[in-house]
Amino acid sequence: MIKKFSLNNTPLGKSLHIVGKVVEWAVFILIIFIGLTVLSPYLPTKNLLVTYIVSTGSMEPTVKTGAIAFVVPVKLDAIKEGDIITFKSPKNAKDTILHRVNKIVVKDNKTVLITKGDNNNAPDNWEVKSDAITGKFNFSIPYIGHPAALLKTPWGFAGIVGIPSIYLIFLFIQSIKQGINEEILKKAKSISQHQSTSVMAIVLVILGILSGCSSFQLYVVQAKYFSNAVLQGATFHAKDFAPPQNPTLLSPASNSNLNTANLLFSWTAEVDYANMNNPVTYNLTLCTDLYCTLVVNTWTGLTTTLLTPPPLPEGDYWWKVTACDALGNCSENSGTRKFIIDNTPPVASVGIGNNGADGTRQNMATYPEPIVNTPVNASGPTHNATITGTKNIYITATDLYMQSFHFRVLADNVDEKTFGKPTGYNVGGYAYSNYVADGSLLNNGRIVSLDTTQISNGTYWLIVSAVDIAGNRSVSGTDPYQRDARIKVTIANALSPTATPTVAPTATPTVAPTATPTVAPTATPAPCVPTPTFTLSSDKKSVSFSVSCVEAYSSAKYTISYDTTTLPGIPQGIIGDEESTGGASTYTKTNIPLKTCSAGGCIEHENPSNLILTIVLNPGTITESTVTANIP
Amino acid sequence: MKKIIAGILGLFIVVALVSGSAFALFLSSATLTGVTFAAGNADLQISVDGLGFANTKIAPAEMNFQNMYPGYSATDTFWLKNNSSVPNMKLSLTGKLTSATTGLPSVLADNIQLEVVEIDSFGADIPASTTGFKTLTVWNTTAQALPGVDLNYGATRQYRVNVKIDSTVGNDIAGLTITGALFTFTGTQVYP
Repeated sequence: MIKKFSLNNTPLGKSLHIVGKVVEWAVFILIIFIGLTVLSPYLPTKNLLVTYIVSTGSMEPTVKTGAIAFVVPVKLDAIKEGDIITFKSPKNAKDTILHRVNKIVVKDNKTVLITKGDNNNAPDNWEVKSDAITGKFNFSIPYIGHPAALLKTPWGFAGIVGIPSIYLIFLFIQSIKQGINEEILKKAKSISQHQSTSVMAIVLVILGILSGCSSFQLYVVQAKYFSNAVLQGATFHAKDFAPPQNPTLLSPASNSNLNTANLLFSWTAEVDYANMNNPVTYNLTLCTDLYCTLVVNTWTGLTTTLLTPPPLPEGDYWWKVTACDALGNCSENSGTRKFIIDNTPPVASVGIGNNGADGTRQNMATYPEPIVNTPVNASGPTHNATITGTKNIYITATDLYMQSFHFRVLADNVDEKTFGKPTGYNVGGYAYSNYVADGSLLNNGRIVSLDTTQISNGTYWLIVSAVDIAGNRSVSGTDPYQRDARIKVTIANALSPTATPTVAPTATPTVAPTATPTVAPTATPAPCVPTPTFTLSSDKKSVSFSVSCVEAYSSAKYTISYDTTTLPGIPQGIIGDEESTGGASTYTKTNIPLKTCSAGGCIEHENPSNLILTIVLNPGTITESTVTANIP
Repeated sequence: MKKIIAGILGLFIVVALVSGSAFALFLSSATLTGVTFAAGNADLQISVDGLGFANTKIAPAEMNFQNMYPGYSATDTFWLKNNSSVPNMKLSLTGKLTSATTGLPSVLADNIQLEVVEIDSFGADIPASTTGFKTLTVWNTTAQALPGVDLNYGATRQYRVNVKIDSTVGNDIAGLTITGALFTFTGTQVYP
């Protein structure tokens, strides 16, 4: 009989049996542990302890990558700085983060946590709110997260669950086979190994039920990595790019007409923006078009606010000024302003008409000789004419921009060629002015009624001078009267006849004559002659006058002309309305201001001189009379 | 008979357990798609010349924006590198104006605009890949996501900084300065 050999009965067999048992139980325990770990969030113990697989290493060395972290639920109040907590990522709620509390801050009355990984060089770039906190780290077991994570891979699942399960299936099949044999042999034989298989089966049943009842979750926690890179020292500097304010143009005034000799540019002084880079200099641009595309000249770097340019030809000009700081920041510009250079004086003429008709005009262009002497109206007396009584004097002046013209009667003791200021200046008080506001008046003329009876017989010059808006006068040279238009006339009114004594015829008295008492002749009272007094106020801003002996006149009208340094070269005039004298013996006007007014305001005239007062007294009971008075 | 029943029952349960677990682990939509472990450290480095990288760099002269004025614009470039020791770790990038030595006077910070544009491998701007112009105040208030996809492990990316001041800005900013501006670029690990 051959005895059947059994390995179980040998020492090697017994050793292998023990090893097998150990492996069998180790696998079994491992499966149980992994199962409990991954199912911990679903177990009743989840309120006491939750496990996470740590997938990253930003919390190393405290928590190793691949460790299982054991976390207990916690409230915000129980968290202090330095604690390690788990929380839902503020960036992605699907991620759970395991980081250390770096700082606890209160923001908008709410407590938020600033976290940081121990292995990160920078705090997390978020703030953790209380509702995102899921627990507080308690302890960890390194490395065992790896097999748990392997469950998610096919090979890991096959190795950890599949192979042990096949092994268990083999054991179950073996157990069934043995049970069939035992039923056949009717022999009962207790095998402890089968009992252990049954125990395993029971445990696996429990696991299976739990697995089947839950959605198998594998909780992973990240100890998220952060890293900062810093760029330091960048600078942003805004330079002084702000220019000074735009200057305001002062003179010449907008659309003003002026002679080039009177052209002086002036503007307001400015300082740099916030006084950053003074001093301010100015650039003046002179153009011949509104948009300054045609530049005549540019003056740069002006340190004052005045500029006298070289003489300019006639024409329309525009100018503008910019202010620049020391860095060259220049204002846009002052705005462009127009002015007109008018260097041409008006052409004046004077002639004698007949009953208002036009007469010969002698203008300065013909001076000195020959003086044209061709009457328009053949019947009209002209140059070198002898006139009497009241004659119409036709005066006219021509200019693009006329302002005024004056008519004067000058005495004969004037040198015809030089016309120095005559002693007979304004003889008869004929001084008239006319102003043309729009500068469009040409050949503006008027008729002056010259009553030669008010002037002593003699030779006179009738002179008209005109001034345009630019201040050009119908004269040239140093003598302001040299080229005024003029004609010479002789006033030859008939003198009052001298009484010729009548010789009484001689009679032979037959009777001795009776002595006739001689009656003394009645003395004729001397006539009261209107005599003006003309005074300038002490501040030279107004004048006053008074004329006595006017009771015989019904009305009076005055005219005052004068020069002023405010508007040099431009005679000024004041014409009063005709007023009734009311039978008073004295006609008086006081405090007549020396100024001109317009819509833009009044301009007071300074330093008045050559003031001429002319008062025409209209007839009342006697002949019209004119009185004059001068203030040098 | 008990062994037969227990064996059949155990066999059934094991098969059911394995099948159920496999289903739960691989097919359930609620399950994480995978777990990888990232050991090591993240490291975002910056360079102002594309050569020398470090965690901190001093702004080059080109980032000293001097003599700015309304209508001003200037540009410069910098590089960021994912120098992490964690293989396959991607970093999402943000930038923030953290502080300035002089503080940030709002008059100036509200009017200086800055954008970061991604530059492709050929050195050309990618116009669509930009933060858009935002004022320094905004850069100081909120970290701005840098353009481009997450920065791969070991990768380097060049950015262009465009700075401008609108021409409509008034004189208020004249003479003002912000010095010592500190820009912090943060790389945040993207899962894994």
